[in-house]
Amino acid sequence: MKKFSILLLFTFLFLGCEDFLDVNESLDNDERTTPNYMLPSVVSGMAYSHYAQGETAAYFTQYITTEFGGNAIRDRWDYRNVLRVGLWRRNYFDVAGNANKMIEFAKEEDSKNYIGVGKIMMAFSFLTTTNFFGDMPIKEAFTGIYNPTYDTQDVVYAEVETWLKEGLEALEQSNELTDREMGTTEDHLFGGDLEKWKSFANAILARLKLHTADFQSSYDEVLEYVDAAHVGWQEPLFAYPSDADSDWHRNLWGPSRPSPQWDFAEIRNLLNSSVHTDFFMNAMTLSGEHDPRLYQLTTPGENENYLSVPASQGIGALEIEDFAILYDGYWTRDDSPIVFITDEELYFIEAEAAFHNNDNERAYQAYIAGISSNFERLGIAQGLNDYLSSSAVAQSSGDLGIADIMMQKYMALYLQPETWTDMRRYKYADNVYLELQYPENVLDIYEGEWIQRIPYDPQTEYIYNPNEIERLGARDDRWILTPLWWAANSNL
Amino acid sequence: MKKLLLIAGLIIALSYQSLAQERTITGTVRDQMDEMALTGVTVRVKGTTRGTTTDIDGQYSLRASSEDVLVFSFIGMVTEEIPVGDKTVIDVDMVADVATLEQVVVTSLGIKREERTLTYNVQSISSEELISSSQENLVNALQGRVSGVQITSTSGAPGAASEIILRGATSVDGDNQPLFVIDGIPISNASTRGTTNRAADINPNDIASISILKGAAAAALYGIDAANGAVIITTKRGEEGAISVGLNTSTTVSQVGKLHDVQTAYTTGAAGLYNPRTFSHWGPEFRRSDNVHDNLNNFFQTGISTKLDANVSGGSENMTYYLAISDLNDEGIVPNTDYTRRSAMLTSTANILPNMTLTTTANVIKTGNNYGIVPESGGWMANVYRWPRWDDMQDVYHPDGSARNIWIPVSGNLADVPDNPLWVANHNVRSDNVDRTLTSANLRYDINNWLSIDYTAGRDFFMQHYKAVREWGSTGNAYEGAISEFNRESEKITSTLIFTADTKVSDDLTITALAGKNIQMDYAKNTFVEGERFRNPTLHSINNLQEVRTSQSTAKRRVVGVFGDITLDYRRFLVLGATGRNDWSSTLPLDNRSFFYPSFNFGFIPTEITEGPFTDILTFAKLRASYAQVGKDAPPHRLTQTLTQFYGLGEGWRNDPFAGNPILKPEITTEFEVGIDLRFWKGLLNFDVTYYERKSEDQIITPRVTPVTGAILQTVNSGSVENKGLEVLLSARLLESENFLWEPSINAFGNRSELSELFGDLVEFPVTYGQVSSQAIASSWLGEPLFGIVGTDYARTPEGEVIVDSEGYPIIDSEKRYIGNREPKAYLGFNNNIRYRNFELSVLVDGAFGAEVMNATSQFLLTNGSHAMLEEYRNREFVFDGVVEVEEGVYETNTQPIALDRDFFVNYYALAGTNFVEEIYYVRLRNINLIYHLPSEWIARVGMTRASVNLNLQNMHLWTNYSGGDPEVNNAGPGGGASGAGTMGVDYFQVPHRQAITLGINVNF
Repeated sequence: MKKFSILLLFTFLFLGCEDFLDVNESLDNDERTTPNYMLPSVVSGMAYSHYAQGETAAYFTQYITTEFGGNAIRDRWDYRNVLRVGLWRRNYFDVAGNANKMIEFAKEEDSKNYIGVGKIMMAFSFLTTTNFFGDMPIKEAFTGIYNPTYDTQDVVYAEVETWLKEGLEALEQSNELTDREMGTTEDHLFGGDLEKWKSFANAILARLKLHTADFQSSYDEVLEYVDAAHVGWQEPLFAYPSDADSDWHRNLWGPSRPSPQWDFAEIRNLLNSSVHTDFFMNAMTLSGEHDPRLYQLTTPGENENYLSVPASQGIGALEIEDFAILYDGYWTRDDSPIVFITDEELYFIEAEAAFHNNDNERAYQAYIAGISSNFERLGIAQGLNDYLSSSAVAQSSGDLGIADIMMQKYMALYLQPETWTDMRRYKYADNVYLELQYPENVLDIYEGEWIQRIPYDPQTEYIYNPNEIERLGARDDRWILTPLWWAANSNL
Repeated sequence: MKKLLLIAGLIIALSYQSLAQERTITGTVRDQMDEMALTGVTVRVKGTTRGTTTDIDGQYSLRASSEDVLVFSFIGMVTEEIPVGDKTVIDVDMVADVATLEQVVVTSLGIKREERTLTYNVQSISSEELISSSQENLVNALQGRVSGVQITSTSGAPGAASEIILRGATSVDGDNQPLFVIDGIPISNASTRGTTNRAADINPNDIASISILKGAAAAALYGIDAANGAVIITTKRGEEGAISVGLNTSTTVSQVGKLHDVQTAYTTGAAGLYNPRTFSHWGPEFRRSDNVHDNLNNFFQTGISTKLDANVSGGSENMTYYLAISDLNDEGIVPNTDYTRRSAMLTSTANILPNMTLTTTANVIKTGNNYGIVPESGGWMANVYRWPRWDDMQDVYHPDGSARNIWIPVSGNLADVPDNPLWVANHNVRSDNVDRTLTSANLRYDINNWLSIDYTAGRDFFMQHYKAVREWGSTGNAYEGAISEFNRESEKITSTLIFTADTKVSDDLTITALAGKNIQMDYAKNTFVEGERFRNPTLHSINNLQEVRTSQSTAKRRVVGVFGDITLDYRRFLVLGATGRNDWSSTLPLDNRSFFYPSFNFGFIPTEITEGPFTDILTFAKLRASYAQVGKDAPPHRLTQTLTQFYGLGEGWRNDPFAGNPILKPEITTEFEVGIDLRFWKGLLNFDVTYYERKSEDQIITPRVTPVTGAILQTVNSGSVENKGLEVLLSARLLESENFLWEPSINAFGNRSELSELFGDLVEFPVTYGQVSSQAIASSWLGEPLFGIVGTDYARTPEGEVIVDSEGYPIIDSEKRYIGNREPKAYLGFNNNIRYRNFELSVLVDGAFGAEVMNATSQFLLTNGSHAMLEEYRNREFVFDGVVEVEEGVYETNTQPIALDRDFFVNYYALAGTNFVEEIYYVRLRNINLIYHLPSEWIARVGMTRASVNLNLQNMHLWTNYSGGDPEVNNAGPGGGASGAGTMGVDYFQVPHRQAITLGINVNF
């Protein structure tokens, strides 16, 4: 019995070595990986983000409006009771956060190709995001600081520009022999072709410079970047498979209204209960005839009519059968591509920059090239000549006005988020955006002023970083009317 | 291995038996007062665990030697110790213990303690009380019977999860539920994805008693998992003597309880125009000729459940056994919902040496649950409430058996057709099946008459299989079918070694000391599979899915603890105690892994040292105080950010939403408790009151962080919650006579909480689940009670008057604020036990007062045009009670009338969250149980020892000022809710609680 007690006593005193407690590492997920396994989520995440930006902006830019009117955000610009604004986290968590991690892994093994691509994606994500929100943390992003300071938008622009240049530099230094391989599996945009990445980076720089060219007198720079982009240019096109077997593999604009991430309410498209606005339809109609592109962008409705209504008013007593079905157009199929910067946009950047640089000849050529490439994209090149000779198109460089350029850009960039930036740069002017009307049903408290930005994510920033929100004044219901830095400084 | 030990033990025991100079002692035990035989008196050989109990005639028989001392103990009687000497017959007349203080209470680690020496509040529930509740979820069986306890059930569906919180919640977002311990083995009470709380797997009929250790003091010895208190369950044991067989069968009939009212005047449509393709009820009034259907009430059915319990027990003086099997089939009030539970438990106790006892228990349980309740966020009843009354919901199928669509949408897309809830009940079934085995072994060795060793090892293991199928034809993205499935493997292994020394140092001083070591190993692995689109429409297998996603998560945790406890009992009037524990947890970083926490307690019993006439009135008084700390570790795997699967094109990895935190440290809860225990007139009237204060600091919480950090959530040490409360217990024995006794008892409880500190710049910590409305959400606000409601209100003047615009409409202040406290200000339970001849009646009435319920159901019904008040108010002209601002700061009374139309209700009324926060009370006639014991002379003829029939009525009436249905609500339940402030008090379309009648028969042979 004594032996037994001693044994028990021994067990009691024995505390076990520390190993016994070393079981806290995750058994299912690693902390590290190689950068090739991170790139797909970065690029796919950006495609996702691009859709969400387009879905948000398409109602503000009056491509479409809701069937019934009265939708809080889309028709009334009413963000007061919104639970989540997901675009915020799309940048920080889904795209740039992963790109940042990828760069970290790439630096460890010195894979310059992944470093460069990572910086370019991070820059593109921040640039598109700041154009929705304005001021945002960039210097203190990903540092672990839980109440980061918001940088002003000029600082964000400068930082994005730096990243792009660093990205280009890293790509220059890339060495195929020592860098980790980047092929079609990893790189869904360009299959690892770094020259194409460089032209994409230059196109982003052209877009970035265009936003501020008016007050920074940098149209020359814009045109230089356009030229650089055209060298080896291929559209940064994110293709979705036609035989997708999961919502993750479908374009979010598609009729199956995918919702791969259940937690974000705004993610599902509302095209099933949206219709075209009068503004859009006017642009696409010439003396009673519809622009041929309209048939490629939409599906005919039951009665094959193409009615439209003023933004925010709903269709009222009209029959939904008389409107076009918005699905299964070029951009709105389950397998439609997402294009970060289109061929057309690059031409219209050139046209606008050249126009303001008083190089009308170049502007006109780029203008025509923009229209042409849009017809080509939509597979109706045979109708191009008729269209170009119609009164919808300026017939010579002398006739060319800014409204011609911006309206053609508007049509060519159907549902693209960049249109909202353009409209705000031109202060929603109805002599640029011809016959653009202020939506009737927006909240009275806006007193006829246009929406300039969206509020930060109420579920995170207003709760977790309240002091910065307070400092910016972003709690005010009229915060969304405050023009962004480039819009406030624009003399356009 | 266990079997081998048992056999070896038996052999040793048998060989010892022949060596001892023992003989059989017999005798009769009676009550000195009335000379009536006492049944169930424990007779034990002192210093051993050998013993027996007296039979129905008060007789006993056991073997003892001349040197032995027999100890006779019985609840309510003074324990007698009689040396055997040369006697062979020992008759005892026991004396009533005036203060009934020799009562033994089970406390930490299964240690039985004399109630007198307790310095903190422990409340016990007997097997009889549990059974009389007629509740199959043992958590529900505690409702109304224990003070300091908040219990809310998620719904009236079979197998619905229930949440239990002791003395208010301490954690802003961690689990606030107590630890469940069965026979010394901590078990899982987890609820995953809205499935039942797993403690419900335990058959209440197998339980001998439950002790509720509410405070940190009582739980200090259980360590970190008992930081929220502990529910200590002791199962039934066999008794020495002839084989005894018990049979118990019951049948319960249940029906739906209180529902929300809905308007019945208006049909579907908008702006007063009829529309047959919408659930929106803003259409015209029904015409007299319209054929309408009461779909809401027709939806429910009568639930029937049956239960059979059988047990066999008995044994010799060296070995006793108890075998129980049970079969429960509970069919719900919602069609195609049911809960089944089959269990078998075997406990055996063997005296393998004269001073060594081995107890082994195995409990095998199999449960199955079919339910239609949406997990975590509830809301399943929404379509039942808003189903158009012009359509007969009962008409589910076409004659050819295919599902009937309520309408064909304009788009022609059948995936847009809402599903008939009765179709859903049968074709969107969620099932949850669990196979569970609880095993334990306890070895107790009395080294001598003051020192003993106790070793317990046990394992709680279950496999859970959850499967939710949405059949082909379901609405939305499940139109072509969908499956969500998970397998969970859960294991908890415990090993505890305790040395106990109990010694009378002198006549004045008794010391009880205890030292122990505990190892806890937890492992849980979940494998999730979900996907959509069946290839073959009727095959419900993941093999048949076109889109499949899988993932798994594994949680591993180990904790090692050493602890000590010393209690000094000086002349029975002064009790001083101290405990200390050090834990090492695997979930904390190496540097912070080890942490120590102490407790100190004190008891003073003046009636032990004073004599005088007043002791005839105040027989007993005790003053007690304790101070305790208890630590808490982090959830597993939270120190570093990992990568997680990416499902999009190209796959690979992406950042996990959880940021790491390599500097986590333990959370500490400190509690102070004082209490008074007074017993008057020898126990005719008893009064016990406890006050406690409790503060949790450096909370381990996982708030959302700004995604600017690159993560969505991060586990941090931050925030404090303070709770203070009062527990009162009043009981009496009235009109006592030979044939009659009335024992009323009242328990009351109130808790006040405050979130006194929060992470970073946070002023609000929203609850993750049950966020069903954007105008009012379950959320904790800094400086306010933890169970807050945060939402919008009308704009108000400094005096609180509603500001109305010039057109007569109230202005909404969309800035969200703290607008309500969901925790009741007071709970009250009133229990009556009445005995009259062969009848026993118990009546339990309980209630809660001063709670604010967030009635999201009402908001939803209102915006949908279905709210009952619309019958009276819709389209009425109305002058809103408020003021109009005529110039800055100058207000005039509003006189502008407005029409109470959809625009008003949807765009004004429904936007003020305060309109859906109601301060409520309820009083519930929770339970009436009537037992009739058949006279012994009748049953003896058929060879029975006991027989009774009972009638049990549950939830017979509800008195409440609540405008909705049953105000006792918990939208998400413990699955998501018990984390932090949870969803207690959030009403959102849950299945109402049931009313039920049970008829039972209980016989013993």
